[in-house]
Amino acid sequence: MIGIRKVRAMALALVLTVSVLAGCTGSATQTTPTPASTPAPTAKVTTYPVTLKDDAGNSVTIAQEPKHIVSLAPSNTELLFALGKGPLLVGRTDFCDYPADVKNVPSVGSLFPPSYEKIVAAKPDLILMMGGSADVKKKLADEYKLPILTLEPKNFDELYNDIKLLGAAVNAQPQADKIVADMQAAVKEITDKTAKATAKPAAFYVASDDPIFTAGSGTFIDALITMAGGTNVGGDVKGWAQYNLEQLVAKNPAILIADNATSVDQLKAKKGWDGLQAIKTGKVYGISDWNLMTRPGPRLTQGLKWLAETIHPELFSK
Amino acid sequence: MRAHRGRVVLVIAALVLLATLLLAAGIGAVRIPVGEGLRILLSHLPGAHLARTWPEPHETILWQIRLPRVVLGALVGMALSVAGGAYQGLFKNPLADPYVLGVSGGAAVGGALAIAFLDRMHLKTLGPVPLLAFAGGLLAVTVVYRLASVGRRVTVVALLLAGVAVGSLMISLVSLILVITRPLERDIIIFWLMGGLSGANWTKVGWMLPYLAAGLAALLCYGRELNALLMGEETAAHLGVDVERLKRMILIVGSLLTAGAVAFSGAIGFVGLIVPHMVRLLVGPDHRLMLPVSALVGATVLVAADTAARSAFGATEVPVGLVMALAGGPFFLWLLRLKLKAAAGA
Repeated sequence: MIGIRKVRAMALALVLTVSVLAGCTGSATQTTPTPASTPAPTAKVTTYPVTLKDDAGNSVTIAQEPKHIVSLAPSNTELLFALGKGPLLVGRTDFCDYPADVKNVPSVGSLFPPSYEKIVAAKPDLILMMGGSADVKKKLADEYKLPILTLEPKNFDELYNDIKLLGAAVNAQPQADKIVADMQAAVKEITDKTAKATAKPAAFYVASDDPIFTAGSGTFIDALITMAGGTNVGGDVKGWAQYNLEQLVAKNPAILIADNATSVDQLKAKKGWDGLQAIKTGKVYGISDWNLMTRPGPRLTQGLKWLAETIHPELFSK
Repeated sequence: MRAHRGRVVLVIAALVLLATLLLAAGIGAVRIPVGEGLRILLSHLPGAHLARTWPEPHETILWQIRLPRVVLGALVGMALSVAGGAYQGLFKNPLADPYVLGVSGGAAVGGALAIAFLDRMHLKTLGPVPLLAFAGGLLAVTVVYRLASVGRRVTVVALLLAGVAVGSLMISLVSLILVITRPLERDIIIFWLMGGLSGANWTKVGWMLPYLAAGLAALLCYGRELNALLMGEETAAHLGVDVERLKRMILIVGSLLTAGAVAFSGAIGFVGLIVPHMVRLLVGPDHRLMLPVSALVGATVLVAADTAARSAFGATEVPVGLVMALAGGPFFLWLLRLKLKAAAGA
């Protein structure tokens, strides 16, 4: 069976099994305790049991290839589908909305709290979660003895690692490598262009305009704006945070980015904002789907492309 | 005659509670056939040896998820209703509820701090949230009590005022915590503040049960004194009641009960305010009957509401306080109108 165990107990279990972990890339740990282990084969097939170190710092041992997976985060659901393992899902949250096929997977509720009954009834051999929700995590792990893999990437490098980590967990390593390679290629194509930009326009992401909320440093949006050749005005606050209007006016962003297309007109007409350079020049843009810039996954490159074309149209005109 | 009627009411309330408990154990997001459920329950009786003919997850769902939740709901409902009923008698104020002295505010600060900053801590058995919530609740009441007392005397009005003031101070502290935490923790805190029973397990029931039994027994003992207090503090004193001591005891026991309930389930509203009123309308103001009936009805109301909260919308759970307010509010208002009309007609 599968279980999250303390590192010591896990090491013991590993002595008993001739484990081949070398196929695991990314942050997968190779804790094979036998010093005489032979150089690992390079075949991209996960050999179970496999022990992986997840983003919560837990060593997760997966005894057999997972067949019934519950995902408690939209990002993990999306990643699993991208790896071609969507059909293994037996449960997802109300918030999992991509790809369209998730509609066929029964929901186990929200995260606040999920339906523990539904989760247990689905008999999962792996649960995918994101950071936080310590209360839910503790209950699932300690009381119902369910194995949990936590993915919480904070930047592109961690995301690449996590895609490979998930690939190792569900035996989809070639797919994971391909997704990462594709993403890296897409990112390179865009950043090669934006690197040529002489100016780095100040852009401000409007998550909410009353109160003003933005994506500060450490968020994917902050990274995306920078990669797209802009300067994130909200970069002086940490994480998702409230932003001061006076400070916003003082910084006078050249571009406003709204988290949806419909609030563009509303922002343009907003009292007190009319002095902003972005409003005066009409450079207020809304992304069609804010998940393209916020949800860690392969679609982030689409968000990056949109953002780069929005901030530097001159670099992308054919 | 009166005593006889009281016994009948108590027996009826107890039977209704029992039926509600059984029904609540049978209803959930996952359907478990009645016969199978009964066999699972029987297999957990000491000395029972039943062949396991049921799927393993069903046993986990019924025994580890649903049943502790139902039982904890009953205990929390009892604690809040009795504490609310006793406070209403003590303060002679119909707006008094278990949270009037700032317990919920203090517990909210403690719980929010625990969720925001001790997220990854894994304390054995209970975890940081109930412990900090309990401590915060008691701390707030202690501050309120110290503020409101001069020497050995404490006035009811001062208590209420201090309770409101400290309560709003606590709410602003919670807002401050919400502002500085990450979005994910923020969501957890917000849902925790609404109150709910999804965190229930046998460990929590094990902590709550003896604690509640002691607190309930203590409060129920003060029925006669609370009745005397209804006639005013001076009259009560003439009747031989040590009013200051009575006030202190009710406050201490009531706060402990409330803090215990909030620690495990967050600040569940409505039940501690409305149930005592409802029971008073039904059985009269005699605390010797009103308090035990409130305990039984409070347990029934909370368990019924929680069953709806966790199963009415499929897998998606709604806050239990919301269900109670939506379903119980109109019922209470209807009862109130009925009594008002009867009183006007008489």
